[in-house]
Amino acid sequence: MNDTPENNVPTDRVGTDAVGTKSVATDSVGMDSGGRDDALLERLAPATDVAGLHRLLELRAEQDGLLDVSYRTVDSPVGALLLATTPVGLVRVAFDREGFDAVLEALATRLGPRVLRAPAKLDEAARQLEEYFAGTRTAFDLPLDRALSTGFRGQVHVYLPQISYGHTASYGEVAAAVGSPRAVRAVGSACATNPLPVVVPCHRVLRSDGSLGGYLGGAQAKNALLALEHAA
Amino acid sequence: MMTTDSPVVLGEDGLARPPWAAADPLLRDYYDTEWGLPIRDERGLFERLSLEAFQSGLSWATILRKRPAFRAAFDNFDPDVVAAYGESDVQRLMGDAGIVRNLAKIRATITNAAATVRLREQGGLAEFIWSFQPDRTPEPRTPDEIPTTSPESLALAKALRREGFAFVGPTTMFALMEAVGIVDTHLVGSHRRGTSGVWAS
Repeated sequence: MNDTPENNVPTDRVGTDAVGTKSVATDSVGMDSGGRDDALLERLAPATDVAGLHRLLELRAEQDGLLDVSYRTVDSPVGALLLATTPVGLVRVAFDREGFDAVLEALATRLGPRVLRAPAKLDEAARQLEEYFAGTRTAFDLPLDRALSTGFRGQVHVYLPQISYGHTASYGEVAAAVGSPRAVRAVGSACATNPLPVVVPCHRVLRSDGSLGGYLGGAQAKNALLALEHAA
Repeated sequence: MMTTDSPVVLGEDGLARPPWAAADPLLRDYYDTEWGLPIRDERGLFERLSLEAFQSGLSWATILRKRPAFRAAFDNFDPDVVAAYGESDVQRLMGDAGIVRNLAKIRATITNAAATVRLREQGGLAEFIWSFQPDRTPEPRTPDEIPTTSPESLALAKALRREGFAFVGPTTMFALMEAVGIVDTHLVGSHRRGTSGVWAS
């Protein structure tokens, strides 16, 4: 059966946008081997069903432990969000304005080139975000991969979830909490480089005069999140 | 070392530089082409950290003149190679007139190389040091407005010591942050201000 048309999926298809795969992943997750997937293939992927082919690719990649990063996008009141996970846990949440392609490219450089759109792996994260935006969830319970948080920024990022839902803290209070009371400006840049916005609540950090301060997702998004939490 | 009470000096080329970079051609070229430009790789930052440590108590001109000899003696500051140095290497370095023969600093460099290798588990030395970048940079208008330490350099010094590094005081760490572009302490209006690309002018 290996020579049937169904199995001769041209490998260059794997890298096209039509199946939503980053081209960096093509080398590792080609679909050129063995008959053990024939049943799956028949069930999931008629020769012309691109979605089915992609689902098969996801399953194959998952079975073989081939993925460095899986990702999907979700809609939210603060615009489309990109969610990315490693086998360890959620590693990145990105706002539309950051440019999803640029973010995925950075992830491939940093975490490994095998990056694939695989929504199923992020179902739980997507569900919790949906509940958060609906006002029914006040804390996230997800495994997180802190690989993108190092040094001082890592200390700040790990601390942030202690600022509870509906509450805020000043940059100075966060600086004191991580043991460097005067390093207010480094807290500012740590918040600005939070790899897991929304889930790790850097939006709850404000200037000591109560004004908003910067936000990766823009002032409007920060305001919207604070309004959501105060209204709930 | 980078601060002074005297005003900037106008060079023959019409460009203003701080006094430390105005006279000696070696320092002038270094100021014009290296100082303050971003270093973001592990080897580069390990070299810089090591040379800043050797500098303490001496002039930067001395270190800069000896830099080629330092690079030769320390295997181009490859952290893996330096981390594996033993007593025979310490003896070799103490006998090398091309470098600064200070036993404590030589041992600290080897210690720091090992700490640099260990830091890879946390994302590496470059990410670690840059994680102390403030969200704003000083805007000195006169040389005496240039700080010699900052809350961030203090926090960096503390954090590096916690990771096993030696000879990493807050003043040395501020000099490092200036030299590798983490802060821009060029005087406002100087021809080098903003050239790192890290800070919008």
